[in-house]
Formats: sequence, structure tokens, C-alpha cells
Amino acid sequence: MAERPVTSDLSVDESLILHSVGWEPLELVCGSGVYSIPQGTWTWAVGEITAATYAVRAAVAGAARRLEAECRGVGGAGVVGVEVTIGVERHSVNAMLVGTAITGGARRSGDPFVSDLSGQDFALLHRAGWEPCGLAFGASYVYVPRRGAGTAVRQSGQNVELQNYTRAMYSARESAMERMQSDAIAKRATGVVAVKVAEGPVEFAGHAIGFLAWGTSVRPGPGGHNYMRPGVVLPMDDAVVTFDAAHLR
Amino acid sequence: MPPESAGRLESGTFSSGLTIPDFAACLHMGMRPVALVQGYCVMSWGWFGTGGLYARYQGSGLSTYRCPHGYYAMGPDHRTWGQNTEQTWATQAWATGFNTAYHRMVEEAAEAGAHGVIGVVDTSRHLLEGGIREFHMYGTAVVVEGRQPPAQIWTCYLAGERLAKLMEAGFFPVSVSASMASVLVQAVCATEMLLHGSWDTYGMVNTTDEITQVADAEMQACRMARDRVRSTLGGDRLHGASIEAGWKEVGAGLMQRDCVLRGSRVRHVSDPGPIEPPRPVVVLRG
Amino acid sequence: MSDTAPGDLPKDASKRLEELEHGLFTSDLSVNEFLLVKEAGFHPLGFVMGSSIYHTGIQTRKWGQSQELSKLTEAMYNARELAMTRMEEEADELGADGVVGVRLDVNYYEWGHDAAEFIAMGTAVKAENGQSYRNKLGKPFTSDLSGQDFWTIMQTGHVPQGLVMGTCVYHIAHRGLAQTLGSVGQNAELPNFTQALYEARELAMTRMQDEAQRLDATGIVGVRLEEKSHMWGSHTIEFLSLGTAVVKTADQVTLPKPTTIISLDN
Repeated sequence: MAERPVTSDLSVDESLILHSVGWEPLELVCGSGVYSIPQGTWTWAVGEITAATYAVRAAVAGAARRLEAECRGVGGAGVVGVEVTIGVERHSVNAMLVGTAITGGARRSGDPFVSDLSGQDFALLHRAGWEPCGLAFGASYVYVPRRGAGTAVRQSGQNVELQNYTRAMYSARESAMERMQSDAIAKRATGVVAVKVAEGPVEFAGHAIGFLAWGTSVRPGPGGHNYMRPGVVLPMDDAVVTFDAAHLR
Repeated sequence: MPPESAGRLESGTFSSGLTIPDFAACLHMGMRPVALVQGYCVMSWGWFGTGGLYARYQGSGLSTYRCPHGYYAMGPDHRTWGQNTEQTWATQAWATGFNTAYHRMVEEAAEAGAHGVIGVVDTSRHLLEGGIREFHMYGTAVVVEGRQPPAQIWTCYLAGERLAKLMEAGFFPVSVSASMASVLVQAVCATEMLLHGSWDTYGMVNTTDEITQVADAEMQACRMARDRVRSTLGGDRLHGASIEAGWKEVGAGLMQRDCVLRGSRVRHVSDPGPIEPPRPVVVLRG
Repeated sequence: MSDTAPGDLPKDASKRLEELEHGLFTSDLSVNEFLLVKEAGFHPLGFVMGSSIYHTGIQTRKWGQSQELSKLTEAMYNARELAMTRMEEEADELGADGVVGVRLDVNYYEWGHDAAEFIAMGTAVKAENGQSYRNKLGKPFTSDLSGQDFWTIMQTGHVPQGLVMGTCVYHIAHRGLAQTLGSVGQNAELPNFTQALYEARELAMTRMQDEAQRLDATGIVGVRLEEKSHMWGSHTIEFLSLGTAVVKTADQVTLPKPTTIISLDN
């Protein structure tokens, strides 16, 4: 047992599952990163909003760096269950990461890992012989293309693909994912699991859209992949059926 | 304790704030709900100290920031110096409000003959444009069947299945624990500029720079709240911690970061023994 | 029915796919799904996606007649096909055997009057034993099965061939005033609606089955029927039926005999 009192935001299930694979929580840790978005950034233009993309990525990277430092400070090997909160304001971006630093297992070399995996997911991966390397994050902000082409098409009354819009959205999504991949490669990971994709217009600038993609980068441990041969369970209790009338929007 | 509550607590009928599943789980654990108990406290909220305009900023200084502009001519509003300070008055006022509400709730529980209070909910909000802050705490007082009342009434944010699992895992609740830390940020020129999305023409403040002062304030508030809670734990553990934090403008170039950390203080009372990692299964549920 | 999709993926896609080809994998499968895909003998290659922004404004239609709006049906179908085809192209580029966990989403933007974005996303996978699992058309199979469902269906000796869909955009006649007055205050069947909804659903499901037949499938699993009005108002509905076409490859079922349990939690 640690001498220092333990603070943790893990649920009981998570704590028990981690305990069963030899890992224990140490401390609730947080990291913050704040960057500026220059004036004029949100004025409608063409293509990628590079200043916003830079600020969001820098804010998350800064928060992850500080989180790693906190984890190192308490002697943890890494942080799990990280909750990622990103607030984009007109002139600044604020990223906050909160999770629980854990310790256990063989003494790892290198930086502490930051991962948004739950305790259960971490334990499962651990048993399968994989280890997390860090949070992989990518972002891309773009201006919506000007309406010219759209208006012309509407007037023609045809149902066709709007190619310039497609290209703009497609590119932006792919960029965000590609940047997430670069993050993973930089940490010498083999892959990224449980990727989450968030996208939507910027609250105060409707002609700007942001694409975010993040997940936990992983690599196989020295033993390689461990097959677990899961059993199969057939529950005999009646599944609860909830009736939801399909409604026409 | 207000006289009205005494009558309610002495009657034989119980009321409980637990949901139905939590209520059933509670009985299953051998606990009987006896009353819904609450505590309430209203604090005046503001800086009432003496000592002139700058006394407010004399709380514990946490970090200072120098302007990078040196001898360059900057405007009259230019702030050559910035500082992050802990607003100890706010931290102490919050602690008083929280603890007073807590003790009143526990008093009601004692009056009802309870052993502990589960499913605690604590809220705090501003009234009258921030001049007043109210603290409200309530929970379900329970009696553990077949046991003597403990020396001190224990309390816990958890209830139901989550509490049962916690006890199965060998922990017993001691009390709810919370602390607030408030950091006042007096922005230095670079911080001010960057927060407005501007930069200087001398190349000393670039929009790609980190707004360190603000990030530092967030870290400081979170660390202080956590450290304060941790210092009250003794050898116990803080379980199910959560953070509630936010920013507030309090004046020109002045911002405040508040961070509240809450959790259940629990004690390790028995060892569940080595736990086998669970067998993975695929459930054939439609 | 689909127009030929251009084989041009944006350059950002190419760069990203190149990185995946060099050994990095990405996947939006949960950890459980990732491990079950491995158990099934496959390895995730990468997150793949395709999208298309399509003009979906309504065509002229007769107010009093219930009918399929075939131009719109075609548009909805083409838009989704384009998105799916681009996703398959990305999977093809990675040398995948198939794509699992495919999600088909529709996004509306306030600036995109009468236009909607159709997105298909999933995780491309490849068999670890080197055997090819591509379908009859030589393309990577697509399926909206989760990692768990993919593992389970493989254990029953069936292999996915492709995500099949059928769509039908139907306009339901606004009833004449006289008819409306006639049935006020009665609990009676509304024959207009019944007929229209029945016909529309049948059209959608038949088209889905045709797609499955083209893949020489044994059957379709996990069929679901969705109804959306998108932004056309309540008398115009799109019926979409989706499922995964499968082919039976083995007679013995390797699924371990399930343990029956009664769960004590709710």
C-alpha cells in the first residue's frame, strides 16, 4: 500500500480490475494547456483555418505534457481514464485533461503514458500483451466553401453531388486523422485504438467547422499478442424490451 | 438546527432520497433508511478586508510574470508585471460554508438515531450577483441493522450498488470530503494580449506562444484543492473524486479560477484477497 | 444504379493511407472489439472513410398522389454509394480483406441549404492467415457488424460479403379536405398511409435483397429499417433498409457451447 494517501477518480469496478492485473491507483492528476487564437482568424476565407488548428493541437499537447509531469511527480507509470475537455473561444483555446495516475507491473522505461482508456480497457489490453504509448490527437479547422456553386446547383433543380463541398469536408477529416496518426508514429506506437471522432460547426462562427480525432496509441509488449479464447454466455433472463415508437421527423 | 426539522425527524415514518434500485440495494446491505437529512448555510461572499486597494492581492503569491518588453515604449495601460495569487479568503469562506452545512446535516442524522448518511448531494450556488453563496447538502440517513451506533456518523456520496461494491472490495466510508481553491490572476501584458488574440509588433509576444499564466492558474487551483483534501485523509483513500472548475472575470485584467475537488473518504478495513482476473466472455444478448 | 465514382481520393487521404501501409494501424473499434477481431483471426489495418455532399432538395410532386419520388431515391442511393465506394477504395488501397463496424451517417449543415453530407466510416481488417476474404466482386467486404457480432458470425461458419442497402423516398398524399372532415373523431385505419408505407418498405427491402443476390449471398443478417424525413417535412419519408449479406462457408460451427446464466443485475 502506498504511504501517501491515494486519491482517485476510478470507479470500484475499475479499481478492482486493475488490482487483478497488478496495477494500483496513485493520484488524481490534471493538466492544462491554453493558447491564443489571433484576431481575424474566424473571418470567412478559404481553406484550412491554420491558426485554430495550431492552437487546439498545441493546447492539447501542452495539457498532456503537464499531465505527464504530474504523473512523473507521484511516481506513476501512466494515467488512465483521461477525460479530455476542449473549449474553443473566439480568442483562445483551453484544453484540460483529468485522470488517475497508476503504478504497477514491470518498471517501464520512458515517459509516462497518457490514455483515455478506462480501467477495464487498460486491464484487457494488458492481458492481451499490449501497452499504451500515449494519447494520439489530431485536429483540423476549415472554412465552409462559399455558396456560389451551391446556389447554382439549387437553381438547376438537379440532385447531384456538390464536389467542392465534398472535397473540402473530406480533406479536413482526413487531415485531422492523419495528424492523429503522426502523433502515434512520433511515440513509436504500432496502432491507435478506440478512436473517437468529433466534428461540428464552431459555436460562434457558423461558417467554420472543426474536426477532432483522438485515441490511445498502443504497441505490443515484448511477449507479443496473447490470445484469450473468450467463452460465450447465453443469458436466460428475458431481455428488457423498451418500446420506442418510430416518429417521423 | 431549525425547530421545524425536529418534529419531522422524530416521527416514525421515514423519507428517503434514494432511487428505487438504490433503496433496494440499501436494504439488501442490511441498512435501513430512517430519514432524509439536510444541512444548509448561507455565507456572505466577497473581500471584506482592510488595507487599501492592493491588500486583496496580498494573499499567498503563487507565481509572478515579467513583461518581456523592457525599455520599449508601450501604452499607459501596459501591465509590466503579473501575478497569480491564492484568494485565501475565498478558500476559507468555502470551507466554512461547506463544513457548516455538513455538520448541520450530521446533527439531523444524529437526532434521527442514524449510523451514517448515504447518497449525499452537495450543491453550492451564488445568489444576488455573487454577493451571497449558499451551501446545501442532503442525504439519506441509515441505520445498520444489528449494530451499535458508531462513535462518529459516517457519510458517503455513494449509495446502492456502487456502495455495496465498495464495501465488498474491503473499504468502508468515513466521510464526504471536498475543498475549493481560488486563484486570482492579475494578467501581465503578454497574457492580456494573447487572450485578446493580439500580439506586439516587436516580436516578443507571438500568437503561437503558450498563455502560460492562465494554464499555470488552472494547475495551481487543481493542485491546491487536491492537496488540501489529501491533507485531511490521514491514512485513508479518496474514492470517486471529481473536479468542478471554472473561470470568472472579476475586473479589467483580473480573472479568477475556482476549482472544487469532491470525493468520498474511505478506509481500508479488510482485504478481499487476491482477485483472479475475470474470464472474458461474449454475451449473446440481442 | 450508381454513377461511376471518380477514383480520386483527396491528397490528404493518400498521405494518411501511406502511413497506414507502413505498418501503423488505427481503428475506431473499442478495445473489446479490437481484441475480438484478433480472436477471429483478423488484424485491423486502419480507419477508413468516405464522404459525399449531395444536393437533396425536393423535386416537384403531385400534392394529392402517393408516389415514390424516384429522383430523390436515386440521389439518396447515389450519395450513400459514393461515400461507401470511397471508403472501399481506401480499404482497397490498404490491401484489406474487409471493413467492419461500418457506420453510415448523414450530417446537415445550416449553410448547406438542401444539401446533406453522407459519411461512411469503419475499420479495415485483413486476415492473418493470408487467405483472401474478398467478396465475389473481388472487393473488400463491408459490414456494419460490431467486433463482437463479427466474431460471433464467423464462429457460426458464415463470412460477411458486403453491406447491402435498399432505399425508397416516398411521398404520402395529403388527404383531400372532404376526406379529412369525414374521418374526424373516428378511430379508423387511414388507408392512404397504410398503403403508402407498405409499398415504400417493400420497395426498399426488395432493392436490398437484389444487392445481396448480386453478391451470391446465402442470406442477410442484422437487417434494420430506418425512416427519416431529413428536411422534407412530414409527408415525405425515406425508407432505408440495411443489413450485412453473408455466405455460409463451413458446416461445423466452432462457437463454443454457451453457458446459460440468469443475470442478477438489471
